[in-house]
Amino acid sequence: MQLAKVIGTVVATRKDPRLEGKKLLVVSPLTPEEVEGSKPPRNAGKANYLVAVDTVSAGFRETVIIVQGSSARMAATCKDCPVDTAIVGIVDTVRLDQE
Amino acid sequence: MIGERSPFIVHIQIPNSSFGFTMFLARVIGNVVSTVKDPGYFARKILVIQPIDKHRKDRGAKMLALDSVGAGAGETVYCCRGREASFPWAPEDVPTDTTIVAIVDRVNVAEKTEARSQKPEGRA
Repeated sequence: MQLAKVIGTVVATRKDPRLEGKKLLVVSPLTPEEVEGSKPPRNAGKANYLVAVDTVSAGFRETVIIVQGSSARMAATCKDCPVDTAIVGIVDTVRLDQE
Repeated sequence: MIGERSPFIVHIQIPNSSFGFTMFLARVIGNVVSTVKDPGYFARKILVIQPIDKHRKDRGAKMLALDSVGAGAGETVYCCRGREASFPWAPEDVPTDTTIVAIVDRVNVAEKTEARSQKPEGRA
């Protein structure tokens, strides 16, 4: 599981029938420090990106939790779908312990 | 394991992530609060972990893990990745790819392996 920020959307007309009605979002992985605010974002969400299926109605610029691999298929609306990365939560806060 | 599926996904991972290790040791360094989430995450803890090597030194990128044993801040834990990560809650479907499955009491590493990476210190 990773933290990520939603940086865009994907529109696809020709697709697997099991992906119909699902929202595809472009997300950029973030480190916990960047989300917490103790470090500024490194590459402003441009270098790394993933296309993820949204299961929680996330929006643009929101910080989300993404799940990768076969576990993504277990998300609520992704049963038996050809899904590899899913958004499974919207992050409220991240707290890191002080060393 | 997950990395074998697509070379593309490996390429866009955060550098130095411990991607590819299906089970590993880690240290709990924080937590995540999320209100809107998958129903499978209800009443479960999402923790921030830092993977560590056998000498308890940080190794790889920080990541999130779902907690199945009640681990707390600063504890050394044992994590499981991949599809098996949801097995602690089977048959319920929990969409997690990293799960904390044990709290580590101690790690014993053979003297030989240790001597290779760090010089032997004087003993009392």
